[in-house]
Amino acid sequence: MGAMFRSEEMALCQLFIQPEAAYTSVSELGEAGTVQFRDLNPEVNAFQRKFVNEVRRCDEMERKLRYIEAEVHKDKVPVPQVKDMPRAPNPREIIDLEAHLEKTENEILELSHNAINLKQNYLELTELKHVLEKTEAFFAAQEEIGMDSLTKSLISDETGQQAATRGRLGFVAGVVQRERVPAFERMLWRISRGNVFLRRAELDKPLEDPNTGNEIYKTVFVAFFQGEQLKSRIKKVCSGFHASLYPCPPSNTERQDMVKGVRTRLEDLNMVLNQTRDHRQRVLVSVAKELASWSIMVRKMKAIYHTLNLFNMDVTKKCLIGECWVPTADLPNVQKALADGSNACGSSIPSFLNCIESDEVPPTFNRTNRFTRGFQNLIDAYGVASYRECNPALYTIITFPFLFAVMFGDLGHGLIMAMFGAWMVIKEVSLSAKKTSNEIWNIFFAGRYIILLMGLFSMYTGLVYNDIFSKSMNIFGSSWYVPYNESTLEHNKALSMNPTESYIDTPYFIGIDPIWQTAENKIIFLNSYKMKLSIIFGVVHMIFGVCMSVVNYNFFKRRYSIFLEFLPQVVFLCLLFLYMVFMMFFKWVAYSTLSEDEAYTQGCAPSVLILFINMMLFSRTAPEAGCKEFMFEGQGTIQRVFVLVALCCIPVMLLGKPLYLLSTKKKHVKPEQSNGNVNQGIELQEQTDIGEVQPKPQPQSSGGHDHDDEPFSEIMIHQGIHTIEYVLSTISHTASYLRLWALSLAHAELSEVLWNMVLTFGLKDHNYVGAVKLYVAFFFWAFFTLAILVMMEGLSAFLHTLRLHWVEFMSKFYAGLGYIFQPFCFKTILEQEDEE
Amino acid sequence: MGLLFGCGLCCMLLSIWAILQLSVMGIFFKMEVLAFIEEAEPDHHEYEDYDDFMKQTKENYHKVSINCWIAAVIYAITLGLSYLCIKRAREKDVAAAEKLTDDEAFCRGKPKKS
Repeated sequence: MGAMFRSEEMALCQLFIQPEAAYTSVSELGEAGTVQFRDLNPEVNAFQRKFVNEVRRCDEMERKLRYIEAEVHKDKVPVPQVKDMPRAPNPREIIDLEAHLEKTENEILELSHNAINLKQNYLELTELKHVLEKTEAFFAAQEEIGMDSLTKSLISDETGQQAATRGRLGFVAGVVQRERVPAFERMLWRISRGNVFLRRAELDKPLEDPNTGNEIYKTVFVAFFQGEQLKSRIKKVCSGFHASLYPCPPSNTERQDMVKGVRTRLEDLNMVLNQTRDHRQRVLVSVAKELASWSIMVRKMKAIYHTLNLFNMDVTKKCLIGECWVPTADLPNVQKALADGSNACGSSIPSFLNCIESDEVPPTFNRTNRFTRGFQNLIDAYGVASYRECNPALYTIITFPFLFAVMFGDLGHGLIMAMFGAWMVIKEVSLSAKKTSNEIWNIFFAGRYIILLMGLFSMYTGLVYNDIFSKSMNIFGSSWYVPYNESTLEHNKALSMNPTESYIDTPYFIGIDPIWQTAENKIIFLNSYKMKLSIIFGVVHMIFGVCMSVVNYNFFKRRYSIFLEFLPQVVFLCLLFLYMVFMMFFKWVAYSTLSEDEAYTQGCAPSVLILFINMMLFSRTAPEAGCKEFMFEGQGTIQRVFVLVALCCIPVMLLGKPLYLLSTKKKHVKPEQSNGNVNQGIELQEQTDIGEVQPKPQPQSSGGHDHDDEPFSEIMIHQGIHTIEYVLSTISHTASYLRLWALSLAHAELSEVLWNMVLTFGLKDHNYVGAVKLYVAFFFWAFFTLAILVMMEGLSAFLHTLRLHWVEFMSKFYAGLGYIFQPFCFKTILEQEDEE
Repeated sequence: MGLLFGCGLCCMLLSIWAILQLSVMGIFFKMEVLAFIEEAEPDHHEYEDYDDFMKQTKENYHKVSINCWIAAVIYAITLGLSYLCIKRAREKDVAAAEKLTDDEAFCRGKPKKS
């Protein structure tokens, strides 16, 4: 397929759309999601654009939708999820939707206002009822105190009562908030100079405030006074304290009648309130069903009008012109979308597409599926590839999990990781339907294929390292045996096993022999093995990276770079570091305890590192007795030759390209090629000469400088920086790959410590209590395994692998100066808005 | 899903892992695998000679394998308990969801306010 090898070819197209068909065409393009529009009116203010009124309409509809949504959420009505995405509405549907939204909004507003009014009435009636009930006691008591016997007999006599109260005391009754009662009392006392008598009773149940819905505690009071002036003063104080006053008839029977009347009115009001609430509920439930769908339709509409605002209106041809980047492979889809749009609108004149040449750098588009998307994101996070540059994500699919596994290698932990990844992959349809805002889960889920592959590869390296939860497995039978008899074993604490006596000469089938788990020098042996392994992998990875640059140079027709940049780089790297790798392999093969030649026994094996250092410094070390200094004949001469040739590569790297460019600039002075010739169809302009000094219309050389305009000094400086960077990086990056050893050692040691400190607590006790101890110990061991060894070490190894890819691998060839292709796609727009 | 479901699910997964691993470890201890020698060997100075060492080591292997299987059984009980927890949590969820869709239940809660 070649889709991931390099980014796709893009074409800049002009769309000529009839105004009637514009809305539907853009709607079709949005559903397809294959074009990225360019803004043809950058200087125009947002309020001066052509479709600003339509955008306002959409904003208004969104506002109404938001209001309705708020009301729906307030009443906790469930909003069902929309099953399939509705399309953007056509003009007739828009009008219907607007009318419907307005009607619903008005209805809900009206219901809310009515509800508030009703509740206010209800509150007043309730307060009146309470006042009537509580003041019952006041009047009864009041008439007993401070009145003479004339009134006592008149309690049942209404007229007499009225006469008494009319002549003596007036009163006002009302309700005030409980918190304000002390201040209220004090104020009344002051304004009346102590001539007002206040009785109050607290209401036990709080009352609901109709506006806010808060519950407020109130107190009923009755203020007795004499004279009209005091009455007016008291009324003013009451209004100042927001106390509501209620007319309270003084006579008992009137009060009873009033109470009955209030009670019936309260019941009626209650019924009306319930009916209002039910009606509101019905309206909200019926609206809630379509709310999600309407919301999506309005958002799509808004997106279409924003896009249409990017178009240019051509007055002469009476059509809308838009410019967009399209992947060349998707051109038929775009044409189909335009045709569909025209048909849907019934327009007679079809819209058409016209590809134009341009000087600009197109966006980078890598077509990915759900498997490759994760790896592409890893690379894009470092930098989006330049246009048509080789895409390192393709190789990352394998190298990333592999390098992770070298650092993580444990069969048990790899199994846990692989099962977690497998669960996410198997359940991916149902898990992706759940939309959570949990960032951590979203990141893990987006990388599910990466996690699955990392787990599988870790299981493989766990098999090779022969490490499952820090224990080794003996599947194929160990190649070592114990040669000693019982008495030797009894009387010696530690014995060494010499391969000449203890080794059966055929190695363990795959991986590290299980005997090493019981050996004291296990770590020393594994260190040597893992360090050499890391350097081998590192050098191979880096050579691969340098070789990738050949593909780029070839594609961008800078063949001179292959000879002047790639060749010295790879020769330098190989002659020094690939030679070191060769020395490692040679040492593994040539030296053995079973060798007859004394110079090739294990005691005489020279240190590869010391040999390498001596090679670079042109010095020698004296070998031990009976041993040779070098590993094979002529190694000294070969090493000297290699170093000299490698040193010669450096000036070639430094001066080769600048001098070549200088010489070709003098020879070829060509006029600039014209841009912007409109032609149907797409053709990559073929390069007729290799020495391109003039700028190419398409594509621009990735990471290359505009050679025509740069002075020689700039080129020299750039080349100098590149050379120094490369030469130093060969040694520093090679050493950096040793982190593969370091992390794998740390992981193995942590695993062992966890087993020895935690799980053996339960295994060491050989009584039956040990079973219970094992039960508890296993719980803690499992918890720490998951938390420390899988999560923490996994994240750490992931980070280091990412660094190795980004810095050590990609710095050898990657330019990463592109910008990503962001197509106009409804799905991404809706998802982005959901996230906000 | 609430806390009960979360705890139940974690315990269930842990129990399944524990049962598998402990039963396999028990089998390996019975097979006197060399990897587990450090857990099975007797402490220093507790054995007299080679034969005693071998006898004690074999005994320890056997005892630890029995312990592993007993612990696996205890984890099986934990598995059952966690399964019950999950079932209870699911029932609670279903009841809550039914209350939500049941119209009667919706009105039943409201009049309390007035």
